[in-house]
Amino acid sequence: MIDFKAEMERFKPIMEIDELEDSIKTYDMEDMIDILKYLSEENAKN
Amino acid sequence: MIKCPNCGEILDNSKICIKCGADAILLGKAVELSNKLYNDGLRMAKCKDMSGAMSCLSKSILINKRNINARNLLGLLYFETGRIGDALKQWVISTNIKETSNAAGEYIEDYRKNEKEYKKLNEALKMYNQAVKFMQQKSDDMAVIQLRKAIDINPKFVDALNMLALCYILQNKDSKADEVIKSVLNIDVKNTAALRYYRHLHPDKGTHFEEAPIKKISDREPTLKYNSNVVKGGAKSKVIELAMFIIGCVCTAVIMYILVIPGISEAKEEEMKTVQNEFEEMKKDYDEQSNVNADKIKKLEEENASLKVQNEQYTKQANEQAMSDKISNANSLFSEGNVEEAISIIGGIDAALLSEENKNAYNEIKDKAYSSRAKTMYNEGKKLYDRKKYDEAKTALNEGIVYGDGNLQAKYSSMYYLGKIYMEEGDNERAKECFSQVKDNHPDKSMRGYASGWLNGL
Repeated sequence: MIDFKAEMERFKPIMEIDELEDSIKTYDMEDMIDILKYLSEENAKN
Repeated sequence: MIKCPNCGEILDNSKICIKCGADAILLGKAVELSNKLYNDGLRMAKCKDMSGAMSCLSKSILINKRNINARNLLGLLYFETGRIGDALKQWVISTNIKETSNAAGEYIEDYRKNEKEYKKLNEALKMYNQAVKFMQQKSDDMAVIQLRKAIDINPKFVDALNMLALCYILQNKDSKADEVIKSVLNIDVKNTAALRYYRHLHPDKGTHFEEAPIKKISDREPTLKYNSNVVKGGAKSKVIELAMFIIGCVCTAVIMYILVIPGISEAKEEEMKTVQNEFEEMKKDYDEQSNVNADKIKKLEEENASLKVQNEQYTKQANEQAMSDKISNANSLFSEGNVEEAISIIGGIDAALLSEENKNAYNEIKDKAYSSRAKTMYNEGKKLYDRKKYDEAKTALNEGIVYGDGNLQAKYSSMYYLGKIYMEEGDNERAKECFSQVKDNHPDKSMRGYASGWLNGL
């Protein structure tokens, strides 16, 4: 049986073109490689 | 020879880069994992498993944000499923990472060239977001309207289709829901929400969905264009394509000629008739309005004339009343013995403006006052004559003549003594004129005789 409430929670508003600029400005460009680099640098210091 | 995946420095046997200090082996593994996820995503996308592909590609860029192939493909998949904003975001970030030789640049250029069409697709997003709000307010009827509009604009808008299917399930419109779910699964064969709804509607079929033959996305990825319906082949297929295109054009022209053009002509004729009818109605309205206005103007002119007449009447009445008051005042003054002031008031009345009634009253008081004045002036003049004050006597006697039209006795008696003064002064000509008039007009016979005697002596 479908749980309407649970199903509805899956539907979120989708970003519109007008919000694109703000979305990119606030986008945090961090990936796993950034984390690994950070860890390597920390290890090198120690 | 191994290069550092971070800075490109050539490494010797060490796993740590001397230049940037990065763990080259570990970073290399990360890049490799990101690429593997991209390959998985690409494979899934080719099999129209959009959800699976998007999941792999999202992970791929989470590991390596510089994997522009993964990012560009993710953008394309977002575009294919209706999420234009998310697609553009990935392409913009991609072009920021690598400005040249990047397919994302072409996609953005396409957006700039076809901004109007993208805006239309963006309208579908707005409608979907509005539908989400309606659903949160439990207004599924309103949500259905928005979603149907959104899907009309973009039939591949997966999220809108899924939500519409859910609405139909809620409204017990299972056949409609089933139709929508099948549309979703034709776009995204493993869409989890659609499969869940499908299972709800077809519990007997389990997880098995009878898929339509899968149309594979072009093998050209990573420089894959988002318009996945274009499948390119060799020179032979191009010739066939061209032939098909020409046949298509001819068929379209024939259909236009047979069906559409007469329809357009009829529509135009219908439109012209409508415009003509509208024009005639407007003309009729205008004529009616003109007639109404003319009637109004005529009525107003009549009213104006009537008011003018009324105004004249009122003015006349007011004047007559004023004249009547003056006459009444003159009468009062005359009764009190103030003849001089009564005459002054009578002199200020314009007899031509008087009504018949007032005219009689005016003439009556005028005669009485003037006669009285003539008699007074004659008596005054006679006294002055007797005292031989001829200049003053002349003034009084002349006044007696002027006011004496209603009192001939006083008038011609004044004239008689005026003649005598002229005679005393040696002005025989004037004396003759006076005696001559007295001889002809004096009411008293003896006075006429005296005047005759003096005339004979002169």
